[in-house]
Amino acid sequence: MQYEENDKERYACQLQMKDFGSEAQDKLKNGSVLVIGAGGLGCPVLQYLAGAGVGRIGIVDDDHIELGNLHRQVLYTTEDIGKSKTESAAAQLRKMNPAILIEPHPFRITNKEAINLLTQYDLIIDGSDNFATRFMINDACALLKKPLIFGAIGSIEGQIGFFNHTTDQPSANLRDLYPTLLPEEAALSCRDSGTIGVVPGVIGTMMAAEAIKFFTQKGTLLSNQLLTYNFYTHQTCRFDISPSKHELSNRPITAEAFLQKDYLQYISINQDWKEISAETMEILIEKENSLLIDIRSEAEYPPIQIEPHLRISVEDILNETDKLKEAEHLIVICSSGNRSKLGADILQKHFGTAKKIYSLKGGIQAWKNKSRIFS
Amino acid sequence: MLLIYSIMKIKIQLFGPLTEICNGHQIETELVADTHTLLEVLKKRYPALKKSVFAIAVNNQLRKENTLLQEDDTVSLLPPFSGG
Repeated sequence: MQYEENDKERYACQLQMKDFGSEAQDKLKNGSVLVIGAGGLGCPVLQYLAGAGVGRIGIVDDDHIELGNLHRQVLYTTEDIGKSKTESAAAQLRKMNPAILIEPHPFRITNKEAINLLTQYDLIIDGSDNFATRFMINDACALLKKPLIFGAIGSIEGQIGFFNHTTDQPSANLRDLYPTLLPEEAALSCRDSGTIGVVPGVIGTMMAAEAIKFFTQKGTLLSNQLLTYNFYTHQTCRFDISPSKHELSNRPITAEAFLQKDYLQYISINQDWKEISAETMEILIEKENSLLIDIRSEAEYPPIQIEPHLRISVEDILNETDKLKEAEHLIVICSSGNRSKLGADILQKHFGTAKKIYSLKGGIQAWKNKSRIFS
Repeated sequence: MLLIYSIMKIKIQLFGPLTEICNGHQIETELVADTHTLLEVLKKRYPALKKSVFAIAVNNQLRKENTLLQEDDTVSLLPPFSGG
């Protein structure tokens, strides 16, 4: 393949690497990858794979950017708060490398879409943030014999592994480590246990490295292995995972069984609206297309001084939807953050995906403690 | 006459939240026959382990079945992570 001058310059450092050259660069260009989750792991994965020139990159995520994401999700800026992660990531990556194809899939992937979507890509990278998605993606990849890079973090540690690297030999998968679908309480999420941005940064970069080695057929992959990393000590450990027949009994082995499997048994997903912090809300209300909806009763104190805002009771909210037509972001607030969840539920049912709906966590009480507006 | 008793030991390597339950990244215990016995001993010593989910490796090989242990073996307890 002949390289255009622009590409030669863009990839000059890679092309001059010993044993890499234009042959390896072509393999990257012809490769396609689906990155599940555009969060702490997904951001470095996407940045390095777009930079390296992987020809087609799909991004799956249904989430919107929050202030509390920015310390580790390094593709996004403060101005992106409230925007879709896949759309913001796609825009940023296209700026970074216009020569490649970026395909945003702004939805939560379930077993209904998985087989169709996964078959469109050569390699799957799981950087999601919950067991339901992780087990579902694992089972879909095992069923389709689709190469899968698994990566996960918890506080100061991370794990990474490569499953289904070759189709001609039996491969290990997540079920060889943890046979049955786990409830979220079995591990602490970033929100619960906290983490520092460099932890998903290190693991995500390792995942991108595995992807580059996979496409270019260079080096040794973490095939049928689990590598662990500790941020405080930099200690890494490797564990060999033998594929076993036992794991088959735990995962669906036909497409029909996969479609019927209830992966969401441990989580509720009927909540498309987001609960946001007072800090995130203060950034959102600066946007022209946002509207604050105060659903406290007339008698409740103190009044909101910010314009525009609407004061409507929960009971009347659906009678006043004309007043909400123009806004894109609807932020529902109440005194303590409970009634606003109900308001967000009602608005979500009415507007569906047409608007982005939020409920202020902890309500005006939490906001008062963190804001200068009430001082 | 000085008698030196050497007790045969195994190392246990811990990850994630298990380091808090067992107060450290690595602990030692007397050699026991196999991984099942070891888990019984550990769960008695650290009752919170009973509620924990983890995979077990012996000398960096994942083990799904009860595995015989020898002196100086390292047993790793690997909890699942879901964060991204």
